[in-house]
Amino acid sequence: MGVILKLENDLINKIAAGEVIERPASIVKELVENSIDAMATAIDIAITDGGKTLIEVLDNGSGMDKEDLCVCVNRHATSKLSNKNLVNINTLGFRGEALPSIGSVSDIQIESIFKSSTDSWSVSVIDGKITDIKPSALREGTKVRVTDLFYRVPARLKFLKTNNTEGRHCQEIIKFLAMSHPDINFSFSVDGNKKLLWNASKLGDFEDIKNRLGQAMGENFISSSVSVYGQKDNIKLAGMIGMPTYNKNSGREQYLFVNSRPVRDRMLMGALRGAYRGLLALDRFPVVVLFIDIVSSEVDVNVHPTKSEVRFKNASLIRSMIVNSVRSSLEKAGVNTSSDISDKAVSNFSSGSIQNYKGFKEDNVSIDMNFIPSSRSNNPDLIKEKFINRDGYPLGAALVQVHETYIVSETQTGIILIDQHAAHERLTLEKMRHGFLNDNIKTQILLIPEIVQLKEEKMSIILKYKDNLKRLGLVFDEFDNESIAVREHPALLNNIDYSKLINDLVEEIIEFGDEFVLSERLDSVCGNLACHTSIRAGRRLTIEEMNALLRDMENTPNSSQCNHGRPTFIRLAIKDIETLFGRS
Amino acid sequence: MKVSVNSSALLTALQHVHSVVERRNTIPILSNVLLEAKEQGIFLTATDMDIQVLESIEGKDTDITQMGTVTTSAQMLYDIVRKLPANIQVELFSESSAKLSIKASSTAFALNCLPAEDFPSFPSEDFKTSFEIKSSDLIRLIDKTSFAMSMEETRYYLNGIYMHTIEADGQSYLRTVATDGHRLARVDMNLPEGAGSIPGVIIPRKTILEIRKLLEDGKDKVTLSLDETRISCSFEKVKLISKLLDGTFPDYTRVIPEGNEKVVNVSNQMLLEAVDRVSTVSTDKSRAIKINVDNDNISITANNPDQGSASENLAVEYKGDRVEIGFNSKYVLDVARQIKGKNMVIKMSDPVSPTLVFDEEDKDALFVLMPMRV
Repeated sequence: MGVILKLENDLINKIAAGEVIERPASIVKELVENSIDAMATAIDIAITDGGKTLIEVLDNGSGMDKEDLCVCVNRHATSKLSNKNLVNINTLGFRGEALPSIGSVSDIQIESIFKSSTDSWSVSVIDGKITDIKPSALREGTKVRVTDLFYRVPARLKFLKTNNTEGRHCQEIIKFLAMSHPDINFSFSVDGNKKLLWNASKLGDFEDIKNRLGQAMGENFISSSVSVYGQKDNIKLAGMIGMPTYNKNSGREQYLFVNSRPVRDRMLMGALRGAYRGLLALDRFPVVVLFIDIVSSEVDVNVHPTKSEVRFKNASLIRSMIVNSVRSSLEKAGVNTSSDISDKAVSNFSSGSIQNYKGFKEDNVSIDMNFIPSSRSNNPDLIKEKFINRDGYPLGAALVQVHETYIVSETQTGIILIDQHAAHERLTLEKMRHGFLNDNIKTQILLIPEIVQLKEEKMSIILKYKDNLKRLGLVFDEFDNESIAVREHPALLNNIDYSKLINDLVEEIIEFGDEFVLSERLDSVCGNLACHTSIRAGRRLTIEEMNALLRDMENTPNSSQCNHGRPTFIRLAIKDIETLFGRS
Repeated sequence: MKVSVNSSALLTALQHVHSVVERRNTIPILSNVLLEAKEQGIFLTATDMDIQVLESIEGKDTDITQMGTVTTSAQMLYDIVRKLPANIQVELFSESSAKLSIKASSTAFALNCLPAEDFPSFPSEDFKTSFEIKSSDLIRLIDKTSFAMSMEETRYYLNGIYMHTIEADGQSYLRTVATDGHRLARVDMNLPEGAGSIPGVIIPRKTILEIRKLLEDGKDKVTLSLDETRISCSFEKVKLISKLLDGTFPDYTRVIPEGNEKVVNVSNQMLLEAVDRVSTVSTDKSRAIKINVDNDNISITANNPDQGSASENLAVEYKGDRVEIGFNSKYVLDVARQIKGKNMVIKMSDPVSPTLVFDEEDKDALFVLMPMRV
């Protein structure tokens, strides 16, 4: 027939490029990963016009000799799969697709010198063909220049955003890669201007990572986060996780690494969502940097052409590790809100000036003789006793309530402002949740079991989680092949749309491997109750009541943010106050 | 249209019809009441598209000068008439269908109107069966079951009372049943004459509440008319017509247990008060209490880990095995409030099976309570 033809190589490369090379940032990613795999300790990246005109990556890695240089731009040519299998992959790349894919959509010039050699060579790929092999002047490592991106695929070119946006995407990818390689110096220039220069540090182990995260994420993140660590069997977990009050409106700033490989994995992000459940509003996301080290045979990275997704052999173990270590780190962190908030507060202060100052005239001064309620002012000793010693208490000693809404307290190192409703609401919820989890959960038994129809594949999933859900008070059993009979439900929930609840549960289990929906519903009932039984803004508090609230907050986990992730208090250090007055 | 009408008669009629009107409407005319001046008198109609209430004012209370029809805001008209002195003459006049003027002694109102031909009409004739029932009987059928109607939208067929006929021991009965999946109430009465051929119907919640309001006025007898999709309830000058719930009521007979052998007979009033008192400490949403029966004693307990606990004992005659069952106290109270006799009879089995409750003096009313696992 001759209808089915084998595709030509050039076309195959273009198809592969469609998966791998989406925008300039993808090229930056592939090239920098190559440099990292070549054991470079310094990588310089330069782009022009957002990478559309030029992307240049220079490293001091092991380099290639003339022969390798000519082979490397061929499809499925790689130095990284020496042992002929896909089980133990320890390099970032391995598919042998990057260079030919880049070559199919733009021109490349590669200069390289093999580490033990003295001859450096240069090769160019123009129109997808290797040309112009000649000696070069490069003295160390490899230099790749990618020019005129997508000139052979005008359709792609049209979809690119402005130079600025594409430049930002490049920077984001460099940031991502740099985080997991604190031992490499990174520099990045845009249109000839140096945008960033991150030097490696030699502080040992985790300090290096912390140093690099400081460079990449900003010091704010470091001071608003706590470190997290976990180890079980062959899996190691380490990273910095943002306090719940340091949150963002998207999950973009969740940097996850599996064996130093940056990933955007839904299962892992779901686990984070679970870990922060009840600490953040549903539409807010934590800022997290998390490194997972796992024996490479336990994880499959060959899932996605850009390798942004991975599969774990034992996903539920990873998930529970993440949830547990993040939860315990956050609880240990105790009374701490993100420093970002107090910085914002400080920047909002402005030095006061009195408008329409008229000088000291008699009629400007009025003293309200009745301003102290008599019952409180009768006995001066009693008043004195109410004020406790501030030292030794993280949240200090309450001084006064302002606008019947905020408590001002003094600590050894500054002052603290507390939102009384948010704080008390959190305390009530934590207590309620505590009682709720330790108590046997109460369930209402149904007179007429509710039959919920489910597709066959959903049936097997929900039945697997039968015992977990029973612990939360939802009791059901198999009715027939495609329906379950709900027999009991948590007494806290009323007017349940069972079919929706069960289907939501299955969806969540498929997506995140956990039954968040039900516990979230229970949490939100608790949350509503907590809100109604907590003291409101506008309620006058005595000094004793304020101090009791502060002590309670110190002893309750997660008391630094209200149920919606807003801070319950902010700290103003005395040095911040001094800065405001120009005294420092 | 030009009519003169007694203010008190107008108020009574408006009270009946306006309550069916929803407070907020996307179709403006549904907020209105239809006023029709005919030879026999004035006819008022209001509807929410599911229920329609029609009432007439006839005879000496009205004086029709000019026939005609008009629609105006039911709530506004009701509020106006409510504030007028009793038993004075009110003059309703409209020249076009755009304005209705209301004059009473020295007060005058002019209300905006919508065209009467846009007012939705309901087929109100040709019911298959029709029978008369004493108001007090209908009140009993409604009151003893309506508390158990479900509010939950997904199982819509439970959002009402199921009315049907049954045969037992050669006797025919008219029966109402309601359940929300947690408890069930079932009431029987001897079949009224002419009700033998009625279909089993589910009367929606709002219809039940509206009928109950009309019954407040203490008429002796009402006429119920039925077919598969509609019900009408009428007496004297009022007629309510409603759609029925289209659905199948679950086979409730299967959930009513037969063999509950742990039986106690307890003063209803004392139990009601005890449950009410004890449940004070059960402040969370589930309002759980436990009922424990053992050796001539019934004890009601509640426990709240944060706030404390409560218990109350009542002496009863009971020699059977000890049994302890948890309940939602609200459900127990709901049932106790519907028991009019002196004593309540509780028939229990075990903590996960349904418990039966009877009124000692009204064996034709039966309640089923599903326990709570506490």
